[in-house]
Amino acid sequence: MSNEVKLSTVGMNCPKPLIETRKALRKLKKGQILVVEGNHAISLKEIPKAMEDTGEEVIESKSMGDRWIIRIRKG
Amino acid sequence: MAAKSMTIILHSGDLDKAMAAFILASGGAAKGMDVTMFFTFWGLNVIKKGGADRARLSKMNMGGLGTSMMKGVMKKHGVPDMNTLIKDCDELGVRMVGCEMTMELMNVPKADLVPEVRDIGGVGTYLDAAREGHVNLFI
Repeated sequence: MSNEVKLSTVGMNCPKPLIETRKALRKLKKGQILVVEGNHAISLKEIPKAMEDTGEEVIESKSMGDRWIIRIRKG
Repeated sequence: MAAKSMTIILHSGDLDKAMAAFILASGGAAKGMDVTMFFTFWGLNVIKKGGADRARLSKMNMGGLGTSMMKGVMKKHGVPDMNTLIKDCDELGVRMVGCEMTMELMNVPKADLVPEVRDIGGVGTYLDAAREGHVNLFI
């Protein structure tokens, strides 16, 4: 359970969801999981791409109405 | 690996243009890019202590009213203010460089700049970064 860290970006606009995701990820150890929640629509596409850019693993990304969840394992 | 490098010259001191520069810089760093920002001429004003708060819109400033309204709208929509973006850029490793020549012309000592600006340099400093850059922007 301590392996999973949650981050809410609800209400944040460009470029904050991506920035806060990266800042949170930098504080984690390799293999730890970050669960990001948000409602900035474009970030649901852009955050997974940015994670691929740096070799993280996107385990899950899903939309649930006006919210989304992205689950990332630090690479 | 997709990570590449980006440089941005910020020549403008306008709020809207400086915001674009810091959004690109922080976004690039968040995507794993090496980012260098070079602040020259009016762009130097936004990295003076308090300078980000003094920046005005390039259009529809209307004596400051337009700028105030835009800041209010940005806040309402969850867009970060410039001071926040400068701190984010620093935390994500963006290298911020003040233009030495502009500082001399405008009599701005390094102590007048925000602490996130760790470097002072000239055209050579910028170009050394730019020739390695995959994205080089002049704003």
